[in-house]
Amino acid sequence: MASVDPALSVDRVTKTYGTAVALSDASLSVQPGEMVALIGASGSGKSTLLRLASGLVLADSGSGAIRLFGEKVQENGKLSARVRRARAKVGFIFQQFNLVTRASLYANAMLGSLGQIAPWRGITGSFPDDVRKRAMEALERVGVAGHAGKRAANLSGGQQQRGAIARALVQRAEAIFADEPIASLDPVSARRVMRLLAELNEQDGLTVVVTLHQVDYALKYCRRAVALKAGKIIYDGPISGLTRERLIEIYGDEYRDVMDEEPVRA
Amino acid sequence: MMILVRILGALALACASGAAIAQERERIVFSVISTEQTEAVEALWQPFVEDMEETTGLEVELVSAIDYAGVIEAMRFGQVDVGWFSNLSGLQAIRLADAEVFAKTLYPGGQEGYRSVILVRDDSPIRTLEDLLVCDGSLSFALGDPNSTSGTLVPLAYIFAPRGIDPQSCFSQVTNANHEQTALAVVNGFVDAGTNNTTNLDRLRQTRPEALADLRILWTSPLIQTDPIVWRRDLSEEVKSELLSFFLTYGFRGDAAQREYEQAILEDLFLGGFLPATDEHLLPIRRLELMRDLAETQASDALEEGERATRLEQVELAMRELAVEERRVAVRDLADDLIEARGRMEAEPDAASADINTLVSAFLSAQPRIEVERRIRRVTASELTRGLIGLGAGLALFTLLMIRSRPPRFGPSRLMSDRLIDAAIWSGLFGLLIWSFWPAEMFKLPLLGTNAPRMGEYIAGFFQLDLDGWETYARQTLITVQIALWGTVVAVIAAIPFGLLASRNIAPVWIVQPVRRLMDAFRAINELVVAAIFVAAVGLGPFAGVMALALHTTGVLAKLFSEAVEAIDDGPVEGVRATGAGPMNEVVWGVIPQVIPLWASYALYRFESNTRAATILGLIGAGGIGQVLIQNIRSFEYGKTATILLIIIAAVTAVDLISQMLRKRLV
Repeated sequence: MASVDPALSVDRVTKTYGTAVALSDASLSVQPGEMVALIGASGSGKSTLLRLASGLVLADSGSGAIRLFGEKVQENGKLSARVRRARAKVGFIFQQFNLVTRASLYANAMLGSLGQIAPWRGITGSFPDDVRKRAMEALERVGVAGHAGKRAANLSGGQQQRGAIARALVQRAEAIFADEPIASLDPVSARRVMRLLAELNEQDGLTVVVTLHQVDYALKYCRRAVALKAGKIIYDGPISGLTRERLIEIYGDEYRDVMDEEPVRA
Repeated sequence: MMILVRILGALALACASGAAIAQERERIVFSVISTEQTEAVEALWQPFVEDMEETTGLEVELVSAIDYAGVIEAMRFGQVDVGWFSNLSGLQAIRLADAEVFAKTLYPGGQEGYRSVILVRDDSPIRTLEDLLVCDGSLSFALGDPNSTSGTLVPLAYIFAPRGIDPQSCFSQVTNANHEQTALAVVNGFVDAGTNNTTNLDRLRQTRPEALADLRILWTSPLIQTDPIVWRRDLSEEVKSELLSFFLTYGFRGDAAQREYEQAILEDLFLGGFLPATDEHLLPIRRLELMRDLAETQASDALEEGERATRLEQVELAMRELAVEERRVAVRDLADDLIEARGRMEAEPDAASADINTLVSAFLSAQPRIEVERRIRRVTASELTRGLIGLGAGLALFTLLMIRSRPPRFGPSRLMSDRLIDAAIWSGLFGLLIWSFWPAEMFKLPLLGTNAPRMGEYIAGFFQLDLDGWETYARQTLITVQIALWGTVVAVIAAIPFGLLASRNIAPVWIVQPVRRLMDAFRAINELVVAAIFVAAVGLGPFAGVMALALHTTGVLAKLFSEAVEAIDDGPVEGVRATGAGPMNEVVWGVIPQVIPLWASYALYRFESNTRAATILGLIGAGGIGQVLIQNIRSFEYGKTATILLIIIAAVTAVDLISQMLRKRLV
């Protein structure tokens, strides 16, 4: 049964902030092993969709269920009792990294285990040995093991973001949701983070759903694109389907000028 | 785990065996007042207490306190068994703590009391009481503390109440201060006259003779009885008789050497021995109290006329009851006196019979008057006027601000609601300040300049440092810091959960609101009150102080902690939440690391302020340097007071430096 559960299923979900509609009756399904780019202009609802998927925000009542690998996150505007189990399956990467800045990178990586170990171990900071080992391995893999002992606050954005990916690895996540993971990074760090996500997708079979501002990164690293406009999904298909006309539809008429000035290279 | 269990077990056994040892000798707690005495009160009483232990076979613990309220509460809850009280506090102990008078003190010369006096400056034009009581609002007057017998009750009962005069309306200004401040206020001409007592003048004669030279005694009261010794009614008969025989014989027993030794101890305590007494000892003070109630009821602005009439009736009834008791005592005394006089008559048949006539007529004329004068008072207009002036000033500023903020011809204009709110805030504050100007006596500000030399004179007294006993002061200061340390740590531990529960972004509103109101209550209640509550449970001493500080500080810290929590960045919390962590781990990893620097900083700051606050707790007998400080101020010991202040400043500075270092390390 579990093998056929989609990594993410969103069923007719609406989210409004006051009178502003962030997401309107959206449905989406992502299969395990996919690498999906969520694109759209600012305020189109792509971040909201991702945050709804992890239960960080609640949908309006009347919305359908959101499930991760078959575990229900929320339904009808209420968190499921099993939301923590669902969250533990997915590593979440934030634009602002959201590390515990006063703790070391090493401690931050170990926090990935909080969904699996006994609560008192987390509260007292006495993580099991295998978590400690996995944390060092994960930091090694993302290439920041040399900074393991430093406070997160003292590291660069790129180093912090790779620390956040290490946290997802310690979590043994089956999928990674990345909300604008490279929007605050310089081009070199951004490329490194995207390559890392792509590598985890290809080598480890992790499902990756990533919201992106930069269409060229989406074209380069992702195979499927989901485009949103004003809270509605207006395109869901292969990345190659993002034609010039489609992008103009997604981003508006002015995008024509953007493409004419800086041609997008795939 | 097993080790912990074993340690706990051992501790429990140790406690149990300790209790068993204590039960071998019956233990009583003896409290003494330390008002207007030197800091060595306990040291002075120690030999007396040792003799008491030896004679009675009881284990006697000595506690000293400045404020009676704490001792009375302690007595009520069985934490104090025997106490030396003042008349007024003794009366309260009897009412509240089921206590009774069994003895009274004598002064060293054997006198049975002291007198209340009214002081004026030697060069004052006021020559008689009538000069003082012209009541045209041209004179100012200083009463003692509201609970002071000689400073307030006696003058009210013997001068003001019988003449139907309310001091508040008779004088331009009436202040309440302790005896020392009152005397100095008169010397320095801040008030035209003030109350005091003979004991205090004797002390002033020793410490500041030059001040005394500038004073003249305008009026002297009848004798005020000495202090009562009081015990709890429910002490066993054996204990009572042991105590009674000890007190009544002390200083007058054994051979000449022993008597000399005990007399020396009594002399150090400014005592001349003890005489037996009963609750009748307190009849005069009950009369004084009723007189005060009467005066207060008549003078109070806050009462409705109907309410006032009811209260006056109650006072009248109480006076009638008191009169019956007074008469019983007076009759018994008269009978004794008559028997004695008749005996003299028989011995000397030629002696005049005037003695007997005098006795009888004195008895008849001393029968107290009971009628209560019913005077009607109106609310004074001045308060209303002040309110109107404040309101007018506020409205004027409001108008000005609204005109100033009208839409400019060029540039963006502001929203009408913003302009209204801004103008209301500033003009409201301005109006409040104007309104509060007179009650806060801000018009006296120029006096600071004109009377600066007098302040200098007063401060100069502090420069004659008296370093004797600085080791004691340093030790007491250390105790104060230790009280503050524990008080703060207990508060921090309590403030963490309370602070989190009072944070809107952590707890639901139906928890946040009650917790916040509870913290408000913790903060609002004065440490002294809280300490008095804890005295009931744990007795007098530093622990009550620790708990009082802890409760108050919990209220403060929980508020500050919750404000820090509400200001955190949600990012790390979401980061932790997204891993599937539970709520406790969200707080531990998402919230706490963000607020730790601020929390630590607040806690250290409170530690500093608690070091200062702990000195105040000396008032209710919570130990530490505060008790010593207040005793010295009350006995005019400027040199010693200055030494204590220097030590406190040194301690607070040290605490500040250490906490600064810690803060740097933690942030």
